[in-house]
Amino acid sequence: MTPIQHAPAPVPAPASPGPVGISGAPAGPRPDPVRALLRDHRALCADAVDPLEIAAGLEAHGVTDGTAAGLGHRDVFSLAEELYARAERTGPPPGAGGVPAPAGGGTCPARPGALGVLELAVWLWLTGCGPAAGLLPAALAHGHRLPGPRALAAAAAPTALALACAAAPAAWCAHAVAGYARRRLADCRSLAEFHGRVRRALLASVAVFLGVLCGCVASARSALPVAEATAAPALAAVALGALLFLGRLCAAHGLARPALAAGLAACAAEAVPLLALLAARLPGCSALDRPVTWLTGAHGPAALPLVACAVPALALLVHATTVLPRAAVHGREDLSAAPVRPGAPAGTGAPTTPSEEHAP
Amino acid sequence: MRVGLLTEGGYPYAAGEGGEWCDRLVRGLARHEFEVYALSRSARQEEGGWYALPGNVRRIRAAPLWGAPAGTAPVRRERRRFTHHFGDLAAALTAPGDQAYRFAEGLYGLADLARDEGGLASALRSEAALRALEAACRAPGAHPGAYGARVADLLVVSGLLERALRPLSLDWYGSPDGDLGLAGVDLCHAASAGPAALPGLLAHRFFGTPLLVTEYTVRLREHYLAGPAGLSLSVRTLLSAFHRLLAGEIYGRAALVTAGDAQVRRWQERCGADPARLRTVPPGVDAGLYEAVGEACPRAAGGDGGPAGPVVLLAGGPPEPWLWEAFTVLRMAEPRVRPAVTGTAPDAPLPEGVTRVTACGPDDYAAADAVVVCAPGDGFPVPLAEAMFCGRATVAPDTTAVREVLGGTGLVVPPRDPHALAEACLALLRDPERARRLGAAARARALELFTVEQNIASFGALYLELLSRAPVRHDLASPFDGPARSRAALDASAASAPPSWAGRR
Repeated sequence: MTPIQHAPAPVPAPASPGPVGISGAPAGPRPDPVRALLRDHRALCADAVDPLEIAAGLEAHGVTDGTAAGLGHRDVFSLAEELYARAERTGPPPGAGGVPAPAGGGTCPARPGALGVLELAVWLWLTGCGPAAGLLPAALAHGHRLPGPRALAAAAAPTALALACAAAPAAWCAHAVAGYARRRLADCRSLAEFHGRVRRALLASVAVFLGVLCGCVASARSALPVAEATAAPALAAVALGALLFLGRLCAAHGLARPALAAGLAACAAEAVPLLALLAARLPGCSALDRPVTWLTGAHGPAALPLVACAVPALALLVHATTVLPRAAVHGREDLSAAPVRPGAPAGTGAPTTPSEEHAP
Repeated sequence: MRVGLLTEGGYPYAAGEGGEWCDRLVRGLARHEFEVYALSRSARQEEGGWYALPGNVRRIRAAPLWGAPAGTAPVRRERRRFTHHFGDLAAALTAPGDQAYRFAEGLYGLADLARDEGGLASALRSEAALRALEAACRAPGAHPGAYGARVADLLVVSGLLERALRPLSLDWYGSPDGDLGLAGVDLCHAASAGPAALPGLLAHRFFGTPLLVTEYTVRLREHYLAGPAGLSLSVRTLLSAFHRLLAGEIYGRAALVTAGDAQVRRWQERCGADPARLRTVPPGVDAGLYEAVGEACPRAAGGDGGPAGPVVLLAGGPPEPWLWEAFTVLRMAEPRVRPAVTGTAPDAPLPEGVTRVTACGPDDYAAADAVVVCAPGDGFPVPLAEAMFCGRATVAPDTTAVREVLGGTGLVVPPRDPHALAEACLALLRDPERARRLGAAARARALELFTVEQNIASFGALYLELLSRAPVRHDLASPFDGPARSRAALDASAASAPPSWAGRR
């Protein structure tokens, strides 16, 4: 493809005739004029992917039909075909695939736009109000006194601290997955291989992050005073952290919609028990509070946020392991060298009436 | 007549190649109406502004062939259809033998799908497209260059194919809101045989609109010489196959293909154009600039230049090393010769006695006793035509289109041969009468063949020829739609309206 870089070779002088005997018969092997041309344009011939590319390169270097006729060919095209057939192909050098330029940043770029703002709001809501979402319905269901703001803040503090500590490991894990996938793009020979390796890497990074998160939650809960020392609040914090991690991972690879859906589902799941308890006070609807009462009675108030976050997180994990290992997801920015006009509707031509904009 | 002018990276954008002849064509054929369907190649081009448009350009529709795609993922049923057609297209890129039929099947299948379901952009970059490409690369008998494709290569190919196939997804082929688009034109005139002609192919398929393809540089050759750089072997293999097959399909479907010179014509024939439907229309050079110079010889002394010595003008770009050598040989034989060169950088050092001509105008040609034109390797040699318009005797190395342009009205020497060039110049300088005769013949030939008027008249004639052969279309307005009524009297003024078969509203 780069005949331009090819040094401009002079048109080959016809090879000097071999020694001719007295009888006129050539004494040695016949000279091969095409070989000289092949030598002069070796890079062009070795790189060419079809004879037409050689023909284009030869013409650009001044080889005409006249030259080709001198070499016993009808035209440049037939000469190029012979050169293509005789050239020694140097196959692709190992690892010299068209490696897509790494997308800038790569890890978890915060994508601006309405979707991003909405996403941020959902995350903040989940982090701040997650523990409260368990305490309020539990108090309502069992007729306890409603917890004050101080109690709510005390319940939320260990979770918030743990999540803040886990932010850096989350970014590192996401970065590692993205970098691993980009490297595998360049050296995997098949889509199935790429899919398998990236899926394993993804699961491994989720496992590593969950381990770190468990450690963070345990430390935070031992460092701060907690109301109830059971496993449920800790697990709820881990589920919330996993949901946030998977959501960011998906959003960073252009799957903002599923991530947002999972977050909204978690929000809705935290709001439903409260609404169900309030609705149970209406006449004839008293059965509505049974599931909430049973769940909080059997497993404590933290069971509500645990379920509300664990189910969307699991769904998001299934979705991520299906979609994120696809090569198409990681190759979206491969043509980043080309200018990108954000929001350009490529599918619609912009109709303009020249009589309005350009007076002829 | 209403003509759809299809361009890619040229007219109406001022920053692009080939815009000039489109501009002259549109202005010259003022009796015809034009709709311009333009594909832009870069943001820089779009920011560069447009040509001033004449009144007979009725509308312009533009779409980018760059930047991020837009579109939604196809629903499941369409996904199967897409996989089938794209699989055909991908298999045609790598399979051995003549795959034109398969390529066309896939291309038109995708076009139908895009017309039925809207944009293909996300589908062309989806995992399904990657799988189809991978299957094509690994198929038995596939091109060895494509066999080594890695996942990254497949991604690059699918991205570039998405860009090249973007014309399929545009809403140029009639939309539900009553906009006729290309259904309303009588004739599609594509300015190259690349993606620009894709809308013309689809209009031919959907509405039977005849397609005229004009090339002054071969798009396929341009792809080989100046395509995207830094791509791997597999990517280049697949892309080259795509562009080759697309060019073949366009040449095969076009009602007429015009070439600017014999080199373009050979490429077109090689890629599948039917010689019976090939015409050569040389590009026009504005002769008005050279009218004042005419055949007049500025000096009464004739060819030998009087006491100051004859001037040999080197036109057509910066001189190559062998041309300097030729000048040295020439001055050894004839020390009074004053060479003048064009196209050198303003601060480049020049040998003793050589003058620099910054912008080569008619007067510079007129002042020269002989003009040496070293045309670039491809394309129409415009400096040669300019020298011919000025009635100068020319010496030109035998590159691509030189022989057919000169046609015996100048001297042709073997390329890269300084002695032959110097001898030819000497022959002209020592025989002023012959130089004058050659110059007059060159001017007559240029005036007959290479004027803008001739170029425009040729295209006007080709339009009428195509329209006369195209079938009358009844699909837009059936004669039995309305109630029966008596035939209207012939309107004498109807002759002044442009003839039109289609696009009645």
